[in-house]
Amino acid sequence: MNNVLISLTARQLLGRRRTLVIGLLLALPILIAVIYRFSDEAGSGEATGEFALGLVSVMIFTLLLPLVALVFGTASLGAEIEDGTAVFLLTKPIERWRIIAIKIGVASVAAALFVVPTTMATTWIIHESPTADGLMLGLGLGALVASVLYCAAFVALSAVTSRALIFGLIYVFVWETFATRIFDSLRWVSIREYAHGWSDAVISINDKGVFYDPHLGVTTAIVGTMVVLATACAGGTRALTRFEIGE
Amino acid sequence: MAVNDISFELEPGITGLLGPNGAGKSTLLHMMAGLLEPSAGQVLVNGESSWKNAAMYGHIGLVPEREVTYPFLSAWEYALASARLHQLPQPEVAAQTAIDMVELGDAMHRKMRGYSKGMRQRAKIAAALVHDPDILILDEPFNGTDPRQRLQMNTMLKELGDSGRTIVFSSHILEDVEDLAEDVIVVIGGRLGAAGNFRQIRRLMTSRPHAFTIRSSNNRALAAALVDRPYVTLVSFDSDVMEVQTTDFGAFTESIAPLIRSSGVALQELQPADDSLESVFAYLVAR
Repeated sequence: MNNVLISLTARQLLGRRRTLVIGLLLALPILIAVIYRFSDEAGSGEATGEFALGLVSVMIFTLLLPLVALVFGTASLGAEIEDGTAVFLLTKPIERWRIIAIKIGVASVAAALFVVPTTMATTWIIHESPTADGLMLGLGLGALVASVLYCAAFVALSAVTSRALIFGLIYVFVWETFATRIFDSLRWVSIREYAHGWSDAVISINDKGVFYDPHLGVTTAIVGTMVVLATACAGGTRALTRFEIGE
Repeated sequence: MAVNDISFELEPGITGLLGPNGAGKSTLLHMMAGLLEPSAGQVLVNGESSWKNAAMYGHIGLVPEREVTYPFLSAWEYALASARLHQLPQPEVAAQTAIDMVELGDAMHRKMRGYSKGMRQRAKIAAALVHDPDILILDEPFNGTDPRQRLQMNTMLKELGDSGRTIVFSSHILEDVEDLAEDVIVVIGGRLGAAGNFRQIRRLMTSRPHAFTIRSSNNRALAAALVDRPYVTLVSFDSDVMEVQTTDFGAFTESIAPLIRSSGVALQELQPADDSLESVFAYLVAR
């Protein structure tokens, strides 16, 4: 049963056009990293580490990663509800939590498969020895955590509302990008901050620059991660249990 | 479409849910299938509430009107996925049996994105039948089917009904229901119009008053000839148009031409005023 759900979701998600567009988008930071590497600006040690952190933080964590997760997270369940195929799944004797868990799982794996290698490759290209100060591993871990959490939130959101994409965009670009910078306390409710918290536990660079600015410790990040996952699973399951077909 | 004050019980066999578009048929079927929550009252399937009851889907099969097929799957993969999601012990056998029942064997390995609407309809039915459900719910199953497919689906549904399953299907076409269902539930405007044996309801439908609008060279002379007829119940005028109401459709249509000739008037227009299915249903509701 699980295999059928996984296979249907994966085939639905990984359409040729969607993967091509996401692949091209994620090639951008790698391209910038390559240009930097072969430019006169490229230095060594902490300077390149700072540049890597800045590029990954601004371009991947702030822009591309949430977008990729939003696409996969909302397509995983929301697109099926939209095109009617969700009825095929929902009229089977399957526990609703299982559907939500698998939708979150498949979307997370799809997003992570694109984002984590991009993050690690970008860091690796910029930095001469990215493993020495935990840079590549830390950013890769942060990208993995962010992929899972964003996808969980967006899958649950698409079970709750048909406007998940709009609410997702508002969350990412209004709440996380602007609101958390204006009101510091809002960082406690930010997936990006949880991801940075995980990354920061591994990265040992002293000067992290102005763009990479983690505020939460790893313990808070772990608790936040658990809360997001539990809320997404419970909320998504509840919404799916009470799913009503549209006209 | 909201439905109000509707109560009925379905027995094994085939029941047709008849009503014009937007009457509330799909709403009723979705409630039966647990996909809509009734705001009042309850819908019971095998004695259990259909709402928030995923286990119920082991006993019912739903064929929605809306497209629910994955274009990237073949009918075989679709039926097999359904069988596996039902956790059947031999999913391949069950899928093949269902595909054979809907006669989709020749095209079963082609992707459904290349199917006609009728073929996708049959694929949906195969997926709904794969677990051999006691109850089969079909929303407008004849949409998009050609006459041969319609005949084949009729035969299949009759066999399923005869084998003791409870089958309920919706249609806005009287003839679809007439061909298939012994029992019928008529819904209009979200209310129950009639329920019971199809022949009795059909008799009610044919014996209802019929109205015609007539325009002629001398409406008054024609009206004078018409009011003498026992089957004419009402004649009324509205500027140059006359409306005639009759209780016997056959007698009126047979006699109107000789009557016009004998009255010496020239007929300019004669047409039924209320022959739409909606007006037939409205009459049933009003009774």
